[in-house]
Amino acid sequence: MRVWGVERRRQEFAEFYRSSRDDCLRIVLVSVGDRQLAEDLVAEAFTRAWMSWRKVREHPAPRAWVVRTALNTHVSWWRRRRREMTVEGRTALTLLNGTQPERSADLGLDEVLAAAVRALPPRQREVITLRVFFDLDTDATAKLLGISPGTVGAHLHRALATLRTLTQSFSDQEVTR
Amino acid sequence: MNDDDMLAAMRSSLTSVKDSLTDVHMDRPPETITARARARRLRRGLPGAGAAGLALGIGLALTLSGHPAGSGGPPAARTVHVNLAAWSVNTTPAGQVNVTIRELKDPARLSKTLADAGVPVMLTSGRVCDTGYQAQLSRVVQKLGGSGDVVLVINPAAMPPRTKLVIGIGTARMGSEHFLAAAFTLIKDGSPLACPGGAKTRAR
Repeated sequence: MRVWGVERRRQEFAEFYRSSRDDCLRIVLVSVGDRQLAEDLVAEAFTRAWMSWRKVREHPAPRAWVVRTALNTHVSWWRRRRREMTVEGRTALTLLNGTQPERSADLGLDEVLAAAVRALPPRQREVITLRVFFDLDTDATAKLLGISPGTVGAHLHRALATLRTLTQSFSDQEVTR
Repeated sequence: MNDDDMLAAMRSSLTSVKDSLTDVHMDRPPETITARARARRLRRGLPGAGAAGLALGIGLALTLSGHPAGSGGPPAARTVHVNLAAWSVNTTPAGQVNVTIRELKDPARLSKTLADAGVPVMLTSGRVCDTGYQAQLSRVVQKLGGSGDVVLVINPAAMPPRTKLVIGIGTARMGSEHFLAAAFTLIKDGSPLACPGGAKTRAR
């Protein structure tokens, strides 16, 4: 019965949504640093997931699909917002609780790294997010992002080089202050 | 430190940050997600209707008073989840009101729905006046990006007593692209929406 099939898919999606939403929201929040924005991005990504549920339910990593979609949406919204010049930009060092440290030295290493990830170019940030939070290997990351494994490796290497420099300077600062 | 070590360190740090966000929850029920998808499908199924409706709605330069709020503060709020093809209004357990406007259709119902959600409003078209509440305004309404839609988070509790939120809806143009834009202000309940000296805030 078609109705039964639709209802079953709806229940299946609702179950997926309930079990994944908080985790996806927290991952996107770490990546974008703005609670309201993260919530809207994740809602948009789940909306698209439901609209393509037959494809997403067969995906090997549906949560990663949602997070990648949310971050892609962020890219396009950010570009639009940059044109409009209407929304106050938040600095990369804004903490996740909405406060801003007076100095970068007031942050712990974990927060420094999270802020640095938010400052990465979008594609590098996506690669880091998928590799770190979902433990996807290079091939799986490439497939999800629709790019070649070599390109994933290049983005990862550049991102880690940037983060390594930051970690080093943070360690030096810790030693000298 | 090679890439593998660095990646392991990143995994440890970022997972710690994520795991510390225990008070961060996605409050929207699954029904709002599926309703949003359904509205989008409906919209796509009516080619041309959206753009025509929007142009007509804004061309009429409508000014619609919201639900009467009486002489006190904002009306008592209740849980509201209304998701139409043109707009959505959803209250959250934290007392905020999430609003997405995709098309300016049925503004009278939008005003009433917002009033039911605890937000007395006046909907108008285009720009609105600066009425001296700019400091409070940033605590009342936050505008988010939204794929060409107007996406707002409203905090009714932050509205000064006996005020209404004025939402001016219009279109902005960037090159050949047109998209919805919104401007906001607060006015004393019962006051006319007049702009002394023609001073207006910029639509955004």
